[in-house]
Amino acid sequence: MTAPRMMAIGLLCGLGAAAALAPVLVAADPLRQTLSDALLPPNADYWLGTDHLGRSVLARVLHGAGHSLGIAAVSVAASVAIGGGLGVAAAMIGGITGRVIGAVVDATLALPAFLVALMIAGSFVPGPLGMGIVIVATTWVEPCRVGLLTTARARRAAHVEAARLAGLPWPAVTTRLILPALAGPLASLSGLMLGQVILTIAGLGFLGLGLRPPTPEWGAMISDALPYAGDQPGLVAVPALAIMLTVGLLFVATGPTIDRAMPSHVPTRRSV
Amino acid sequence: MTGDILRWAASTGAAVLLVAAIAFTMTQMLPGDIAFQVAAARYDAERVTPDTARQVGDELGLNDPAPIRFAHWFAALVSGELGRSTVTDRPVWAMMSAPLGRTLRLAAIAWPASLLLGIGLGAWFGLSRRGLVVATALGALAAGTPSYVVGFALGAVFAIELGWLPVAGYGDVAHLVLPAATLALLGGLRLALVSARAVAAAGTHPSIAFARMKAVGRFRVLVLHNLPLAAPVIVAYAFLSLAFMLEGATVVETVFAYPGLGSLLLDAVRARDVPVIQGAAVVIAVAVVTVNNLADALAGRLNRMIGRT
Repeated sequence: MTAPRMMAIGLLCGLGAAAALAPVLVAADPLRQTLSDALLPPNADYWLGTDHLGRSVLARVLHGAGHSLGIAAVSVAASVAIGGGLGVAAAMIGGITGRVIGAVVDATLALPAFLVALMIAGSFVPGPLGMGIVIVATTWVEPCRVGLLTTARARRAAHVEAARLAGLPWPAVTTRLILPALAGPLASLSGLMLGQVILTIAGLGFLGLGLRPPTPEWGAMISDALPYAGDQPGLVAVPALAIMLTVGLLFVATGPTIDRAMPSHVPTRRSV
Repeated sequence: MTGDILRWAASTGAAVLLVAAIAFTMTQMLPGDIAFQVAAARYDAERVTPDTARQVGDELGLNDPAPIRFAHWFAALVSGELGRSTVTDRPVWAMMSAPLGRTLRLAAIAWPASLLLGIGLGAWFGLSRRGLVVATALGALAAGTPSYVVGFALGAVFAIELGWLPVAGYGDVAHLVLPAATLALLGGLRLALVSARAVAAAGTHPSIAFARMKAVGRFRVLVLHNLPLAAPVIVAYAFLSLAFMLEGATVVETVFAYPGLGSLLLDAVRARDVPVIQGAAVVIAVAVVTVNNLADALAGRLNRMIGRT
């Protein structure tokens, strides 16, 4: 493991801890409006200043980290479990069922994912659960493809054939020999997906189609701050830097392994 | 070739069906609400009564059973008829044609610019170890930066501080510069990382060591040996980045209030103008699917050409 990767992983753990401990770290309520304190520059009371409604930017950006990272982590885990499981099942069943699932995967992979997320999120104002559903619905296909291709390759490997000839039944072969082969590729893919999902959540928030206001959310914080950016550029810069730092670190932490881990050319979709 | 065309036709058909189904399902989620939103978009929110909303719903056939509405709409779509906007009552095709042209104009500037930037920088970075490190750092930066942040920063510097370019809107060529630069910068930096890795990987090929031993110049080796070996990856990613651009244009157009297809789609989503959502989403999806398939087909062909199947 290279030094930059170690550093990136360490910093990400720190970010995660800060997000989880946000209610303890900052006393200020991210939702409490103090209009007489609106648009203050950074000072002793508000370390990063206040927004146009007099809410603490530090509290909002930290609580926003909890929302973005929390929803992203849970929905990526669900997406990898559902999609990956479906892929493994398709490769193990094979035959017509496997082919049909493969064809659905190929058709879905070519769809513009952010556009679909935008259409689904636009039809209702999502809460955290709704956002999770939007994310899973638009991201299950990549882990499914990786699960399908990796399993199909693992099934043909010599040691799997030997285990079958030795009389080990398929369920045991799957849990002991095939699933371990999936762990590496799926772990790398999860890291990459996590970054994309954070950008998707922020992108929807920016367009006003994300989490219900006044939930503190990075993308919505940026679009809320745009009219005041001339006087208070920090209002845009703080959430923007939070997004860039998180996703950039995730990219560094998973980037180099992704090429080796992928069974074939898996396009990484990113557009926001 | 025939296989490629068949695959394209099949996946385009599947994509149209999927997007249509999604667009349709979202209309099902809040049926009463749609009639109200449409009425509000037509007559002004304060003046809409429940009666007006119901009337609008009846008039638009929003109260028919769902499968019937989907069958109606899909049959019309297949025959090239996209229906009329529920807000403006204009045909969806007529509403889309001008924005579609503007989005294509944006892509026609941004995509070649991103290719120049990406392949140029990538070839340069791919030649040295230090270059690869720089490319990775820039790639991480580009991967993490949302397009609206780039757009805002470019706008703040070149439109507001320096006043060289218009802040937003659409008129002459100057209005295209900032949105196109935003798309080209992000796409180009990502392509630069991919190209740098591909050029570096190609650098280990024996033919390159041989050419260098024959004292062929570095630039000649790069152009004649390195880049052709790296071409399948670069070409595939270049087309993928065009697909990203068509999709990412939705956000960038909003930032610059550029009246393209993406802005049209977003306005329609906000006003729940279902026929326009469906029309714009289907057009964008078909374009993205076509470009994605083109990327696959071209990469496969180039791989066969350099004998690396």
